[in-house]
Amino acid sequence: MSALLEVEDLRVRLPTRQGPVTVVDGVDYEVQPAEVFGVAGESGSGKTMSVLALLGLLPAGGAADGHALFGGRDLLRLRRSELRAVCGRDIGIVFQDPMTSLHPMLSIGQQLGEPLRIHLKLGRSAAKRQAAELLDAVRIPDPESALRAFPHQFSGGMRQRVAIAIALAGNPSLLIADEPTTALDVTVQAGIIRLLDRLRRERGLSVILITHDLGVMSSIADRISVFYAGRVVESADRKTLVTRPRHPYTRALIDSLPHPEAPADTPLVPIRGMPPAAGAFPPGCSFHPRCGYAVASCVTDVPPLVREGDRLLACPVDPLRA
Amino acid sequence: MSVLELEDVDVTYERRDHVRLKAVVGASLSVDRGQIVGLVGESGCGKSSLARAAVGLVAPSAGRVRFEGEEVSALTRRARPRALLRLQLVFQNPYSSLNPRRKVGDQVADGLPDGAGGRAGRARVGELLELVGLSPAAAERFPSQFSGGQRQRIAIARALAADPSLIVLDEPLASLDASAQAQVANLLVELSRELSLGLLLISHDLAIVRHTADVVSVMYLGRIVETGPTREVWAAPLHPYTEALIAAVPRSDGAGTMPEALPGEVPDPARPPTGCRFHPRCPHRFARCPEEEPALEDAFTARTVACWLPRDPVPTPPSHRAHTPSAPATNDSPSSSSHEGVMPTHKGGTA
Repeated sequence: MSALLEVEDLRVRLPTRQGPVTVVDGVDYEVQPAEVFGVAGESGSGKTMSVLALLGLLPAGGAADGHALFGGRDLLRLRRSELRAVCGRDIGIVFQDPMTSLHPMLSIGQQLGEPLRIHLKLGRSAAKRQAAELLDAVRIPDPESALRAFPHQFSGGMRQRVAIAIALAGNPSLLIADEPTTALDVTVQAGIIRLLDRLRRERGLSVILITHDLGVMSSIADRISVFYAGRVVESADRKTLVTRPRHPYTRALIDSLPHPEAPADTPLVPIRGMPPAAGAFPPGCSFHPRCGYAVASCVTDVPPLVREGDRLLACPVDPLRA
Repeated sequence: MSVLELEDVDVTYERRDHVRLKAVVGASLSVDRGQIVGLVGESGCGKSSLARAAVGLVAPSAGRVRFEGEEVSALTRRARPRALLRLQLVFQNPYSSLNPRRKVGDQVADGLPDGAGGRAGRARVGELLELVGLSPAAAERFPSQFSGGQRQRIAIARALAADPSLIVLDEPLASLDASAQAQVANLLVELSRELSLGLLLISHDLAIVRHTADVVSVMYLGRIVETGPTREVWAAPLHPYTEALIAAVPRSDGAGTMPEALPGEVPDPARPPTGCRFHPRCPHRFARCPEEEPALEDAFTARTVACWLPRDPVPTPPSHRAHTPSAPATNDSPSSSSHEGVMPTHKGGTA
């Protein structure tokens, strides 16, 4: 099976007052058709930038380098106008906060109709029919009247459904979801997770799910890559990664989570220290100052991401054997 | 003895269209010294309004709030009564609750009852910073030099400066990364035990509350619908709403279990449903539920629940409501609209 998206040696630099800093430092990943690919990491790990870079959505002055093959073309070498045709038609995006990603003064029908007319070249009445179908597909009750409504008339969960409908308007093969449930209540979050899962099964949609929430990740992602300080430290299928994590950071991250199944009163095990800021990534393995297993080479050499059985791992010491 | 006691508290707001809205209805809860009480519920359920009433930031329209036996009166333009110094509040967002232009030490010193003056004041600030796991040297720095988790520690140190017996924390962990969340959650448990401090922990995150709170109260549309020891409530929720909240928590076990969505949405608090407020979304509703509102009743020892469903007299909840983590829906389950949390009969978003 050939991958839908193949990203190779991606590097992203962002301007700061202290000069340009590297926030993504040589990242590889691929997304298969109809799979949910999870990008996990804490804030500042470069997880969002490593995906937004593909669509030319970096902050002003940001620069991306590397390759991102999608449908036989390298997204990082497309002209602005070519990228605009891909973005929204072949690749849809959903952001964290549907309150700010929807336009408050335009009706849902106007916002949903625009991509249908631009990307699919539909006429006004055909666009309206299609818009109602999209709202129905994301389970918005009474789509006809919802088209005439404005974002403030919907709850947070319903707004996120509308945002997903807009992202699906061009009938994309890939949906990028950047923390799509972080702003939502847990009960509403469950509905959005189920919606994404159904879209994957019914439409063969691939999803890149960016989230810091490993609980959300482990309920829906097929494969997960864990980001730390601009690099991937471990990558594997969901079950392997969550039940048998090998990288000390992945293990620490999972131990720090409140497990619904763990006996009550189990104290949480925090990771000591805190994630480094962009521009101040430690040399060698960036996790070494917080790692209980670090050896001398961790301080000087960047461990390569190498295949170990069913996973990719960037750690020369094996804490499970040690 | 309870350090904080809320008895039948109502909080009422007037909306811009002059509709009176009851954000909190008849809420009762108590917090002892050294005890952590969790208050959970979806956004808009009134938990923050309850927190504000508990510390006197809003006046309850009915009922009583007592702190160390004395009635808490709502804050006026005048100085806060000295007795209420020992009742403190920590907010959700440490990026906006700390002044970016003042040194951390000065802001912590603001909380000292006798002022910041002199060597004693500075020493106390250093102690407080150490108590929350920061270096005393942090006093000389500015908030921007700290991460979110560290800023929340500073906000907690400032609250501790007043030597409180109770701190109300409104979503103190919501804006933090996973590792910082665990650190601050553990810190709260330690502080509560070591200083025999009562904590009212308001959170939408049940998983975190389960690891920290001794007792949990569940709130829905202004009403507390269930209260009990956290461990028991989690193991066998009595109220269908509590059950739904627990089933919606994603499980990080790698099994690919789908969380359960709760159909429908929280109704407009200005027009709450008749009878039990949860009945339109309740999978177990029956004829009585839309007719009469159930009061909080003692269910088992130390537990209360507001629900008409029959309960066994022995402390084993009915099997159809026992939480069964072993048999949840999986990826392969057929999807329906109710599985995704949308009520098929819902009137639509065009309110």
